[in-house]
Amino acid sequence: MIGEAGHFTGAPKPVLRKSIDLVKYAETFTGLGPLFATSKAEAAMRDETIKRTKTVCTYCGVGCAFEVWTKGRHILKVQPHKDAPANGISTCVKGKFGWDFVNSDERLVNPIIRRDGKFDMVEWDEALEYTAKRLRAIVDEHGPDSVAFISSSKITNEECYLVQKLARAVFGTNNVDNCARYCQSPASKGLSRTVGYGADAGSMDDITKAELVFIVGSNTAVSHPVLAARIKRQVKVHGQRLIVSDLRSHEMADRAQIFLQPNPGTDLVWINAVAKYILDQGWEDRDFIERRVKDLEKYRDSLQKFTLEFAAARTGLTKETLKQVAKEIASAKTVCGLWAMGVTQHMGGTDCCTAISNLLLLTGNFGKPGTGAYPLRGHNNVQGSCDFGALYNYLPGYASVGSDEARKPFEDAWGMKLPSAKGLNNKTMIDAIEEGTLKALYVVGEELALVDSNARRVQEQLEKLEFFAVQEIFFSTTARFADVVLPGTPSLEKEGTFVNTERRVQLLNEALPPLKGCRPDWKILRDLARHLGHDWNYESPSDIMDEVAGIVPEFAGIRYDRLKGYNSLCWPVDKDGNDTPLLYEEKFHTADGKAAFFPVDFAEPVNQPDEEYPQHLNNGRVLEHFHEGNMTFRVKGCVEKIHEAFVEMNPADANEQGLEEGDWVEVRSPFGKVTTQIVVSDSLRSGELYMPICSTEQRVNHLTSTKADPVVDTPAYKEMSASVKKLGRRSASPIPKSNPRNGKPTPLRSVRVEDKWRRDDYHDPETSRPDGGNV
Amino acid sequence: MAEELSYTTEPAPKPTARDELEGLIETLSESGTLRALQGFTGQFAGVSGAALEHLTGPAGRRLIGSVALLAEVLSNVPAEKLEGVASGFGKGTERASEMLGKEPPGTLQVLKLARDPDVRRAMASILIILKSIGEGLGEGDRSRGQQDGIATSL
Ligand code: SF4
Repeated sequence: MIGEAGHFTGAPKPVLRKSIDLVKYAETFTGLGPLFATSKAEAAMRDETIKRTKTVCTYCGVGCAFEVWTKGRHILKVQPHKDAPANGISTCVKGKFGWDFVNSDERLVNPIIRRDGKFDMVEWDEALEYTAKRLRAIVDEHGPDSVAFISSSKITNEECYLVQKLARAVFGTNNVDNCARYCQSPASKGLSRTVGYGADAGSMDDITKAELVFIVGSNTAVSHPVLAARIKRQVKVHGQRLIVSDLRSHEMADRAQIFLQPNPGTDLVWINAVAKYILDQGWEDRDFIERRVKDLEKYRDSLQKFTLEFAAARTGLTKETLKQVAKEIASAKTVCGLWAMGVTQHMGGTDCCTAISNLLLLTGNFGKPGTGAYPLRGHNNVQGSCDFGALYNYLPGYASVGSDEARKPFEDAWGMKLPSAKGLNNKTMIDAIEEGTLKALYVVGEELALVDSNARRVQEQLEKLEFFAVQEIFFSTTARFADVVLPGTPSLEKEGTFVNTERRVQLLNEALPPLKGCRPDWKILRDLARHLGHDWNYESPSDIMDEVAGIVPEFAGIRYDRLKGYNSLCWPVDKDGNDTPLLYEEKFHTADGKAAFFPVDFAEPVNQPDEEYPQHLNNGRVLEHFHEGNMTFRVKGCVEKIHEAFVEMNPADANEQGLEEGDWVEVRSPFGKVTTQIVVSDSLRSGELYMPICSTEQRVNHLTSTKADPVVDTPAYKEMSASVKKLGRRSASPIPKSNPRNGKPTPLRSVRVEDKWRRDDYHDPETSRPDGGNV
Repeated sequence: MAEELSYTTEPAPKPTARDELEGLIETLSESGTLRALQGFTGQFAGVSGAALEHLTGPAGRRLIGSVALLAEVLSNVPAEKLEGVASGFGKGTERASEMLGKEPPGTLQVLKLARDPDVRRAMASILIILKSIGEGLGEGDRSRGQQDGIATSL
């Protein structure tokens, strides 16, 4: 980015220096007027050559919107704007600087086909015809359920809609899924069991309004940094109460008034114990429950075993702490519960999400500002992938595939009968390949060969496919197993919409034309359908959205003209464009409009430490990289901060094993091994290890198991034990000195602007907030 | 059965000078500059002929000579030395313009003004400059005489 924006900023250093000296000299005689005039003239010239495009971040589920400034193919900068609904003028390091990957030399720029043990470059027509022919032949021979589709949480809603339409309307199968299976499917299920929609109950404004926020299993400061910044501000400046439960002590834990460190996999126990204690004390919101929630007695019965004694013994938390948490939650007028993969990626993930929702219902914390359940969506469009139907059991808008009534609008619109049996999901697809019933797989932008648990087993199964097609922007690890790879485009090279974690639909515009040889993913899907004999005549993504809006009542009012600039809509959106940032104000999304307590029990975690694998192995994100890192490891600045994964270990354990920071070790689990470096960290307790999920080589998923939540098949990534063996080599710490982890946050309560505002001589500025600056 | 295979991507062609040139041409066209340029180059002979006709005439020659001479003189004077004179000139012009349309000052008033130290300093400066100009003119005469002499001797 540096040196690209101005007409002279790219000048060689000596020339630039002399020019600056000349201007400084001239300024003493000319004054600033002529210089400002020259500068303004240059700025006007820049305006002519710089294109500013509003887009939405491609990384996490916060859904930051901003302008990206480009000159030709150069990405000059990211400029946030006060009107951006989720982030205002904030972004994190990834959204602000993480865009080098778009112009990486490693972008795929032509379709390739596997032939005679190598990949050949081919023209688009040939690649699409080949793909269509192979898929058609397999379906003709083995039936429609012998093919399956995996959509991406990085592509747009319109593209996800086309993936599921391709599966259902072109091939006649419900074998379609997306990466929510790896993360938040348990949350969707837990919420649909209790309140209706498998989505956040309110917006980020509600989270900031809440009197108390509790966060379970989420290091929000690195996984959803801009949301974390808003919470931290509320805690610091406005006295919001914060309770955090996590295995590691991290930034959010440091800010919390109460930090719980339960034993691994026991969140459900303390949540149910807190609920029982609230009921025992009569602190539940009786009026709310009587009016709006069913099955209290069933719920009360199910909690009998969750006494404080049982909970203290199983979680390792004290009874006093549990009582204090119960008192805080019951006495706060408004409470929001936030959680992420620390809750969901367990055998009992769905039940734990359900327990959180039960607790919020018990205390009347749904349907009013500042309340609700918030599963924090990981990817930028994982919510949209589900909303727009890339699910094996739901059509777009969560219309059940098994319901004739729910299928009908789609059958009418698409002019065909649709399959009614549930399809395969990401996990059962791999099982079906192993069993030999799934013959072909079509994957759009999902790195399942690395991000699915027990990755080596997944790779072995991919090798067995008769036909495997991948739509990607890079030659990913998954693509290595493909028969055909079709080059798609990243978000900056397409138009469409994303749904962030608050159900907010936002429009992204094309900032750069697709790299020569690549096609936006919606065009690839459209063109493939045409090669399969289906007359898909979408000319733009808005044509696709118009079709969805005509079928799905929740999206009836979503139109591109309503999403212009920084406008956004939180679904459900009625025909007139009225949206719903806060759900359940009047009624819950259930048949009778009432929520229901859903009793859940505790299931012991699997893969527990034993003699051979004595340590618990946890995993998660780092601030500088996103997920497995396919994009951010192609961003120079991010790599400078962290260049490879590592394993964190408690100082006492490291000492006992004679390990120091930077030592190379072999981490082993019953499912594999990786070689990596030690980072000594007191954020972990003794007996626990932590590995980031991002990596270029040493993947934590070479260690995880195939065990999964039995309700929704989300892998139990967080239930793993491992051993660490010293290898006798040492390198510099994988976390360089320049990493913010090594910094010291300034311990200011705030900049105390309120004091300034209270002064008699203070006047509001004419424009209320900065508009994000100009050239 | 699709065994794991590697593949090295061909880097996408980087934007070339030609691409930038295309961008420039588009900008020039959109801004109307291209049209103006087209008109200019189409009429190059006429336009340049007219310009040259003016520049090669006596007035044009005087203009070129004076500008060149002025540039040479100014390049020998440090800017900070000119600054005082230039800014004083600017201020003086401003104040003088305030007198426009008013009664001219009487002789006594002018004499009184002449006793002001700033006025005396300025007058001294002007007289020094006038002296230098006079010297310059004298030198000019002498050198012209010498040149004439040389020319005569040739
Ligand atoms: S990664 Fe998330 S928090 Fe960071 S800029 Fe993108 S959307 Fe915002």
